[in-house]
Amino acid sequence: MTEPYRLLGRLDPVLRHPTRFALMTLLIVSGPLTEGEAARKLGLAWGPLSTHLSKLVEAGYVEKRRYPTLKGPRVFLAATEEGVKAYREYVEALEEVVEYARRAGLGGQHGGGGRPHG
Amino acid sequence: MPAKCSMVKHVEKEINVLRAEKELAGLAEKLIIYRFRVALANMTLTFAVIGAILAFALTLLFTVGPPRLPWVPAGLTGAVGLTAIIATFFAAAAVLYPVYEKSLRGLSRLIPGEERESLVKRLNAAPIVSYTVPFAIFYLVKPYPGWESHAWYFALTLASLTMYAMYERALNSKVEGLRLRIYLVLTALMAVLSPLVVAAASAWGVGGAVAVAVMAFLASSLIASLQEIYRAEREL
Repeated sequence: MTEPYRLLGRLDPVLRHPTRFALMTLLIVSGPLTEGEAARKLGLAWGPLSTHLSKLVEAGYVEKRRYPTLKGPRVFLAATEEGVKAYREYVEALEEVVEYARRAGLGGQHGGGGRPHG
Repeated sequence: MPAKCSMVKHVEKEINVLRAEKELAGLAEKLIIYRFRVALANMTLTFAVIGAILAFALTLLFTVGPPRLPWVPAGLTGAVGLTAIIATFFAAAAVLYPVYEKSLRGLSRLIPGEERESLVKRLNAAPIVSYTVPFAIFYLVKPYPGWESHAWYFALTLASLTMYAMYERALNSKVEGLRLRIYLVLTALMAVLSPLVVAAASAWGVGGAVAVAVMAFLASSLIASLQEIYRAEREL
């Protein structure tokens, strides 16, 4: 039973939170967004957004850039090169974990041969 | 035993979250690819329509001459018309290019590591080479009278082939899951229809050649763009 913990330990702790992972995914798919747009698209309140965002900024995965717009200068959130690289590595590690889980019959809410619940 | 059971439950819960994240990442990748393919097809079709209008307008101007209106100085109507078409071209480019550029930037994030920068440079150079060199080649030769009226058709066929070689293949080989085919289909269709343009030039002269070239170009662009959108939709 140590193998799943070893695999889970390989996952980047910054991205290993559903909200931060979703935020990074959104920034990679959409490109730069304002905090308001990100909060609206993810259905997040300002508090949690700000908490998770500061962790991503601290890790250097997201940066805040000021861009001129028709409504005046706005601060946009953008995934950095380092963030994109970390995201890619995280997804690769995820694939290993999920493959291991499939072989071990762990989980199962999303199909893939998992153990039935209940 | 209960401790082990709770540990398994905890791991299973974690795994389910991670599995959902993996699905989200897969969906994000598909969305990025879909957006790029649709943006490229949309841009190809829009520029084909504007290019066709421009080809018709230029042919009219050089064969029939500018419209003669008694109260407007000669040449002004032609100049205004051409300016309007060229302005439309730039307006369309101003709207569509940022969409395409954003989708290309998104797509480049799917390319691993250091290859990304050099590939993006190559991709940016490909349209410049493809849409200048073939025109220089085809407008330098003059195999028969009236050639210049529809030489653009052959230049665009070669441009499309160059785009296939320099752009489409490079992207398909670097981005896993991307199967672009727009330039291959466009090249094939334009090449297949090119004898019709030559035949129209010898049978009907400049006017007929331009009309057939424009129709062949529009039909090829329409089919190439629609098949790309259709395939992108199916693979989403």
